[in-house]
Amino acid sequence: MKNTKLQGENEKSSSDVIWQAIPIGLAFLALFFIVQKSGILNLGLGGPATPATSFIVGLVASVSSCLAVVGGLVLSLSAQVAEDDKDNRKPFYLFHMGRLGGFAFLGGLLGALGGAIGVSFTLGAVLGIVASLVMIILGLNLVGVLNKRAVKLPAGIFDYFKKVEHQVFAPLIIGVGTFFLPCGFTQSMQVAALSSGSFVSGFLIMLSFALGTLPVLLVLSFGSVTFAQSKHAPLFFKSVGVVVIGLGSFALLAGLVGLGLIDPLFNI
Amino acid sequence: MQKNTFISVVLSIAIVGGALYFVTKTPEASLGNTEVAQTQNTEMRDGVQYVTLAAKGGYFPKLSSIKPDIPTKLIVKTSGTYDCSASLVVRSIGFQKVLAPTQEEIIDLGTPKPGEKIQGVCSMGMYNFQIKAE
Repeated sequence: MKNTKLQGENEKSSSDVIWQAIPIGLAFLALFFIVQKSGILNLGLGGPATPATSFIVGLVASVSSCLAVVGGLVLSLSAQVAEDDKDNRKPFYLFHMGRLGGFAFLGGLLGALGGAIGVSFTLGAVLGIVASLVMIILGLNLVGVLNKRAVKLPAGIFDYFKKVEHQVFAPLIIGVGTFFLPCGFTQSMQVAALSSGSFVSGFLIMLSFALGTLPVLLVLSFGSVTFAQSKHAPLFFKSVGVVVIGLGSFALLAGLVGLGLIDPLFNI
Repeated sequence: MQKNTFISVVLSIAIVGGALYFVTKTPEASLGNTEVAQTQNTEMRDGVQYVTLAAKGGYFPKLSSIKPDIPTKLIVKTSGTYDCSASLVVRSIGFQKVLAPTQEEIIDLGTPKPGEKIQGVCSMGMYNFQIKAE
């Protein structure tokens, strides 16, 4: 009897939390779209790409619409890892190392090979759609929709994530894989690396770009851990869930437009 | 709890409504991109019709109209553009390219038929433009 009462209270507080999380999440989404729309991010950066300008472009990119894909993915994965095991930081270090190392090495390759390899638009768009689907699924899980309704399909996916979280390889690969995620800034930098003419200059351009995006991504991933250990953890996870579902849906729709599968619905 | 739910729903609607109002305002009205939008962006030179668009944080003007049955070229100008609008896709003519941060890209649109619509998007799909032959 006492047990059921306790359970009832838990359920009540968890449904209260979701009602707080929805406006918080929506407020962050609104802020994100308003910042995009305002044109604040359209800085004029002239001249050839140097490591210094690449770093600045990286800083801008990390709060731009690319945040919807790369940042959303980092946030959803981090929150998921932190929710499952709040003391497990290894995947974050591995992810960021993979991202920095992957950008530097692949940038170097672009510089060395020149025009021999092109970064495919279609590959990027397909990966972007996969990333946005992962974000939507993780977001629904964080909000708690999937847990309660016992949706069959994702169960296997979550078991897979739980296994993956403790591996070395997967976070590294995801970090390297962010090189191919669709992001206009990344593509501009890839072209700059491509035309830079040498391994070292391509390496430096892409490494500085990735370093520029690092602060925001570090905040997203290690911020998740910090919140996961605080008493606001349930509210944090549910708010992140709302944000991630929003960003994921935006990235998904944009990806389908990019592939020419649907007509543009919006123009931020 | 019902009170909380009510407050939450009202707040959510207010936030979404406010954001939608802000985001759906015409792109021409947004900061810094007014120049191209308000001037005529097509011109005839040597029997070729040129349409000029500025690419930075989107494509401006977003809607252009051209005359049909004339050989047409599209000029896309980037100026310090590193965002998505630099990676341009015009699917109907099979064009895709990441433009240099500052350049003028000239793209042959062929001879558009009356009523033809040419749609361009950036590779991530969040910016787009349309050129109508009418």
